[in-house]
Amino acid sequence: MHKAGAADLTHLMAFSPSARTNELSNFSFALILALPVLVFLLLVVAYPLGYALWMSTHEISFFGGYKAEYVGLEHFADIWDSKKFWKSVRVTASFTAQSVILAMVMGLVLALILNRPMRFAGLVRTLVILPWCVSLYGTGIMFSQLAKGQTGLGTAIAAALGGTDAVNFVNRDWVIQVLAIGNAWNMTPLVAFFLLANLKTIPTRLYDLAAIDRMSPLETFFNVTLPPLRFTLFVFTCITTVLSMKLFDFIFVLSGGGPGTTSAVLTYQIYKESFKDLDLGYGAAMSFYLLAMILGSTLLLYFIWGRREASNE
Amino acid sequence: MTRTIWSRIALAVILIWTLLPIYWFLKISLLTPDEIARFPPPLYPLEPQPAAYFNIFGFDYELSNGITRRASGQANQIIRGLQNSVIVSIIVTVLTLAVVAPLAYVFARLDFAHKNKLLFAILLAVALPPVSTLIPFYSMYVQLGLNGTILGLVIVTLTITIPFVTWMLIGYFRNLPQVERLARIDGFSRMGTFVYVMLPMSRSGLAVAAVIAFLFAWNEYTYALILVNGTTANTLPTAISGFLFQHPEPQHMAAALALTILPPALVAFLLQRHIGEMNLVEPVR
Amino acid sequence: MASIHLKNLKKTFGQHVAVADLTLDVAEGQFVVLLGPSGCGKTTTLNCIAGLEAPTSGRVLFDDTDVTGLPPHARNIAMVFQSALLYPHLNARANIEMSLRHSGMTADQVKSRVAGVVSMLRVDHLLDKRPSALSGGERQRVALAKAIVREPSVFLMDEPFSALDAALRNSLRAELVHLQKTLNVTTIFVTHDQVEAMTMGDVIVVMNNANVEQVGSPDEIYNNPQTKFVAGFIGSPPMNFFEGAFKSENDRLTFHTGDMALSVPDALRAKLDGSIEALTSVGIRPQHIRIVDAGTDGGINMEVYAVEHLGKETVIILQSEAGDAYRVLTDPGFKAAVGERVALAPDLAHAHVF
Repeated sequence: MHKAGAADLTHLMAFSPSARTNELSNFSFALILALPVLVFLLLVVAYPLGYALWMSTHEISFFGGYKAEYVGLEHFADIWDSKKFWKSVRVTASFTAQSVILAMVMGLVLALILNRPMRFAGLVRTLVILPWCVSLYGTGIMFSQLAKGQTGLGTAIAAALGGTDAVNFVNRDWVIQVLAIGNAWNMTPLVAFFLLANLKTIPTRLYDLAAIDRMSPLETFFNVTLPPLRFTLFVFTCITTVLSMKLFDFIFVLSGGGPGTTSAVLTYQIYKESFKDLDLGYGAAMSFYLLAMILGSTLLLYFIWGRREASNE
Repeated sequence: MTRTIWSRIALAVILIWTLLPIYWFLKISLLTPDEIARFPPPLYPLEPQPAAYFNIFGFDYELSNGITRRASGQANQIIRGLQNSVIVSIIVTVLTLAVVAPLAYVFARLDFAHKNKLLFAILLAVALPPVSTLIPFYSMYVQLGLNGTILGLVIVTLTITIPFVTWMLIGYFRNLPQVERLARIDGFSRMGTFVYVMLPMSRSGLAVAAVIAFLFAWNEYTYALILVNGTTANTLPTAISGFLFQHPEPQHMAAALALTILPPALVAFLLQRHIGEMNLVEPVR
Repeated sequence: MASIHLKNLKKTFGQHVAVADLTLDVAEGQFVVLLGPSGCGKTTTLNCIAGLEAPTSGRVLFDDTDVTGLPPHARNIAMVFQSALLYPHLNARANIEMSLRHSGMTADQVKSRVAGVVSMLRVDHLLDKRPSALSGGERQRVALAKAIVREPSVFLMDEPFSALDAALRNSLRAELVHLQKTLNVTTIFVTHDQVEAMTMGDVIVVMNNANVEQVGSPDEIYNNPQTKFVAGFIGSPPMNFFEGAFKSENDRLTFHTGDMALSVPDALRAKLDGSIEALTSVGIRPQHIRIVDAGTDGGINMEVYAVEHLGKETVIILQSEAGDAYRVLTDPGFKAAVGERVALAPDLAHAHVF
C-alpha cells in the first residue's frame, strides 16, 4: 500500500514543469487556489486563538462598559489550584475513555456485521449511519428521554416486570455512563463505515487461506481481519478522543453538568465560567488547559500506539 | 441453520442499538398529553396522533373525540428557526464547497513547500473545541455588532465545516486516478484541469462533502446557543432548546426534533453509499 | 510526422539521476522501443519527450524545432498511458473527443474525425460506455483511438499493454504495428518486455541505470549485443554466461572456466582480435550448447535441475556445482531426468565475449 503511494508521488512530482515553460509551477498554482482559503482560516481560527490567548491574561468585564485589565498568568495559576478544575479534568477523562472504548467496540461490531452479505443491505446501512447524522443536541434530548425516570425506558421495563418505582439513570452513579453511551451512539457510525471500507479491501482469498489452515473464527479475526484495520483503529481512536473531549452541546442538553457537578466536563466548566459567570478571561485560560489536554492525549496515543502502527504499515 | 439465527441476532443487535433512541422520542411526539403524564411511561403510543406536528407550526388540531390540541406557544420561534436554519445551512454548504474543493485538491495532488505544516494546521483546526473559540468570537462579535446575526453564525460555522470537510476530501482526491497527465496532453491548463476535469470527475465526492457540510451547519448548536439564541437569527436547534427550560410539552419538543432529523434521514442513503470513498486515515499517513 | 532528436538529455530528481546523458535520433516514421528494467529511466525519457517533465538539462527537438520548453499540447503528440488511462467519469466517445477539445476544430470536424478513427479501431459499439464498463482490451483500443484521433506527429506509449493477458497482448501488438506502418507516425514505445520490443520495434534502445546500453535493430541487438547487460536482457531463454580467462599456450588459445579448459575455435579467435583480458565473461545462447554425457571431453559437468517442454523445443535447465543455472535448448524429443548427471558442451564459435 505504501509502495503504491510512493509511486503515485513520483507521478505527482512529474507534474513540476520547468521555469522555461509558460505553465504555472506547483507552488504558484497551489498558492492561487489555496491562499484565499488559508487567509480566511488564519483570520477565523488563528486570530480568535490569539485573541483568546490575550483574553486569558486579562480580567474582562462587561458591566459598566467593556474593560480589560492585564493580570498576567494569574488565571492559569488560579485554575491550577482549583479543585473544581481538577474534578472536571477527571470527569472529562472518564467520560472520554468510556465513550471511546464503547464507540470503537461498537463501531467494529457494526462494521463486522455490515460486512456480511445480507438482504436489504442498503437499507440496513442507511439506518445504521443515521445516528451520525443526528445532531448532538438531538442525541442529548433523545438520551435524556430514554434515561430519565419519568419518561425513560428503564421505568417502562421495570413496570412491565412488575416494579412500581421510577428507574432514573441520570443520577450521580450512572450519568457518565449514560453520557458515554449517547456519545458513542452518535460517533459509532463514523467508525463503523470507515472500518467497513477497510474490511472490504481484505482479499477473500485470505479467508480461504485461514480456512485451509483450520483457524478458529477467533484466530481468523486476529490474524486476518484485525491486522489491516489497526492503523484505522488508531486514527479513529484519536478522532473519537478529540471529539469526546471537545463535546459540549450534548452534555449541556442531557445533564447540564449535573446532577450537582457529577458530569461537569471541562467544556461545560468553561461554558459556565465564561457565559454564566461572565468571567471570560478565566474561561479562556481554562480553554487552553482543555486544548493542551486534547493535544496531549492525541500525542500520547501516537507515542504509545500510533508510532508503532505507522512503522508497521 | 445456526448461521441464519446468528445473522438475525446480529441484525437485531445493530437495529436496536441504532433505532431505539430514535423510536423512543418519535413515540413521544405521537403521544397524547394524558399518555405523557401517565406513569409508567407507555412502550408505544396507544392512540397515535399527529397533533404535535401541527401544533409546532402554530395550528390547533382537533382529535377525533372532539378535543382540540392547542397550537404551541413556541410556534413562531420554530418557524423562524426553521427558516434561519435553512438559510444558514445552505450558505455554509455553498461557501464550504467553493472553498474546500480547491484546498483539498491542492493538498491531495500537488507537492509544494510547507505542505505538511499547513496540513497539520488544518487537522489542528479540527481538534479545536468550539467552546474555546467561542469566547473570543463572543467578545469580538459583541464589539463588531455581529452577535445575533446570520452573517456572524455563518462565519463561525465555516470554522467547523472547512477543516473537517477539507480533511475528508483530501483522502478522496488522493484516490482518484492520475488523469492530470492525460489532461495536460489534451491541452488543459492547470486551472482548466481542475475546473473541467477534476471537478466533474469528483461529483460523488463533492456531493458527499456538500451533504456533510450541510449536516454540520444544520446540527450546529454550541455557537448558536451563545451567539444567536433569543435573537431574530435563532436557528431551529436553539428554538427547540426553548422547550427544554420552559413549560414542559415533551410531545412538541419531540415533534420539533423529528423535524431536525428529517434532512439527515433523507441524505443518509447517499452517505452510506459514498462515505467509504472519503478517507480520514489517508491524510494522517 | 516528425523526427525526434534528444541532445544530452539529463533528468535528476534531487539526488537521484533518472536519465544521465541521453543523445538519440529517431527518424521520421520509425517505431522506436525504449526497453529496460523498471527504474532504468525509460519512462522519464518518454515524459521528457512528451513535455510532462522538464529535463534538468539538454534539449528535445522535433525536426529542427526545439520543443524543450513547450507544454505537451503544443508539441503535437499523442500519448497512451500505462493500463490505458482514461477519464473515468466520461464515456468512450467523450474521452476520444477530449483529445480535440483544444484543437480549435468545429463540432462537425470533430465528429467526422472521431467517426473515422472509431471505425478504424472498431470501437463503435463501445462509445457510450464508461471506462469502468470496458474490458482491458477494449479500454486499450479506446485509448488508442483517443491518441490517433489527434493525428499527431509523434505517438508516445508508456507500457500500454502491461496490464493485459498474453493472448490479448499478442493480437494488440500486431494491430498496433500495422496501424503505425499504415499511418506512418513516428512512435516511441516504452516497455520492459523484451519480446514486445523485439516484435514491434524498428529500432530498440536498451536502457539500464539511467544510461543507454545499446541502440540498434532487433537483429543487431540480438546478434551483436555490445554489453553483457544487453546480452543477458535480450533473448528467451536468456543467454548463459561463463566466467573465466583466456590463455595462450604454444599458439593454442584456450578458455579456462572452473577447472575446465575449452579450446577456442578460429571463428571466436578472429573476433577476439588479440585483446585478451585476464578475466572475462563469455556468453553463449542456449541454442549453441549441446548436452553430452557426463565426463565427455570438452564438457562441463552439471546436474539437470528442471526440464521445460515448449512443444517445438525443450529447455533443459542445468545447475553447476557452484549453484549457477545454465539453460540449453534441445529438440523436443530430448530425454532428461531431474537430478541426472550430464555435461554441457558450449560451441565457442558462437560465443560473445564481454
